[in-house]
Amino acid sequence: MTLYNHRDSNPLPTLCLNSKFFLGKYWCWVWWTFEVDTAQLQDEIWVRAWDTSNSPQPEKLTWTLMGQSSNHFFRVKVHIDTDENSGKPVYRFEHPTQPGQQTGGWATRIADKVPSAGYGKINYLQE
Amino acid sequence: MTPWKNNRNEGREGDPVDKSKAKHWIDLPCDSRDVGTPDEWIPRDGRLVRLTGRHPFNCEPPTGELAKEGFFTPPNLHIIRNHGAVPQLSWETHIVKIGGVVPTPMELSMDELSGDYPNTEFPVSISCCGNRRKELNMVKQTIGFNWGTGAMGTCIYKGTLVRDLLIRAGIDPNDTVGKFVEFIGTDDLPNKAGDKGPFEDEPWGDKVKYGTSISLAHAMALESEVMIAFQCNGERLHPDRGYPCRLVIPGYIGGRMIKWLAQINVLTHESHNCYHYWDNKYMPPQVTAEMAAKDGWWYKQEYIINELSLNSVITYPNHNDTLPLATYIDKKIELKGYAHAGGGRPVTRVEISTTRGETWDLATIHRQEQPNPYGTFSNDDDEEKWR
Repeated sequence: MTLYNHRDSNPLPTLCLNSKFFLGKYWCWVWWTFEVDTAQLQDEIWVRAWDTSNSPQPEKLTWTLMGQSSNHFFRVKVHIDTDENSGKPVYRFEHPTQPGQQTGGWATRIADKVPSAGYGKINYLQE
Repeated sequence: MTPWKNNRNEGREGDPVDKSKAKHWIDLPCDSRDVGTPDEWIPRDGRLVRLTGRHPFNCEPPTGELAKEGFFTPPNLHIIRNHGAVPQLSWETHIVKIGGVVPTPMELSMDELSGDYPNTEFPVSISCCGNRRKELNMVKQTIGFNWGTGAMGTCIYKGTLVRDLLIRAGIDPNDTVGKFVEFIGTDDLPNKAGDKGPFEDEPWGDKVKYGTSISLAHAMALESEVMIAFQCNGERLHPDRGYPCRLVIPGYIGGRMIKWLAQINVLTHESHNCYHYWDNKYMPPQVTAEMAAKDGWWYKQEYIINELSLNSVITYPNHNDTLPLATYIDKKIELKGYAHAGGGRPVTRVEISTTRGETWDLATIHRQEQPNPYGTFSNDDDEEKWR
């Protein structure tokens, strides 16, 4: 295993879109960017993707026993806070959760639970 | 003492000779959290967020680290899903058995598996389909642990197509109806069902191996590119990633890509392996753990998860990032993230809404992957038309 950091992590070939192959199979994610005017920012930023089945991701989550294939719209909340050090107003962005036992995230507050629900209340099935 | 070496396949045709690619990890100490666990011998990146305590090792990179890397993920930052201790295997002694209803059963050494067949190499995103599960756990606890948004990564895998192995074993690529290919790993794991299972001729013990099956038609289809991978980014697989070899089913969930692969069986039925039933299922929401166990929901194969779901995530701004209003007034912020589909389908658009879904704008997709050639247009005129 090579330990890269992002400064030297690009020894690999960069591939490109070739329209000739559009009907071929795609096995990888894409990265995307979007420039947003700060004047446009309200309380949330949402993202959704579409594929060649011409269906988007669902807006609302569907809870299932195993919690897999979780793919509802990803929503980031936009807060206007006062920076503790400078005393000046800042935009603060809040994701729904943080992984594992890490705390924080608007979904953890809305759930009105401890920030992490921990590792499986029904442990006998996972273990 | 480790049977795993990072010196790749010395002397093998087509292997990289760039030693500098391997230089960093060799002196890496064991992660202190692994001391006293069966995985103490494995070098791991300390940035990875552990999701199931110290052991077994289940981790994802912090989303910010994943985003810094972009399209290609360094193997040391790749999501890991281990059900138990990592088997200590060696390239020199590992054997992959090919059996079941194949006319010519085979036992292949790693040298044979990698050297006696054409190799193929291309990038694949691998994801645990539990990615973003914590959002569901905040509504109601599932039986799974808390994945955030980092349970996906993209590396270049090199391997031998399952198709080529099975043709050598005598399988006719046009005779796939009613047949399946089963893949079984090495590690001994807890029996999730807790009983002998429903297959009288193949009762499950207290310990079972991780296995699953896919249709033979999918395994034999050229465009599926199902492969037994033995290299990742030009190096032998890391022990956490399946050394010496693993299954890669592009477009499928990571849970079907058996690591530490030991057996390939062609069957006239789906796999009878415990994990083929008691894992990776998308149950109707009203099904609870008790109902599922009592009423046989784990054996309803219509709920199996094979292909990845369409998904997208914002990585910038990251959680708790702040930007001063005074600096950014009348300015733009560049949002960033990833998106993926499954089953080989391309993402056609990514949309952003700042109005809670009232209006949507198109994000710019930075395409870096050339799709596989099985969709090539038949002549150059067509190609021009689509530009």
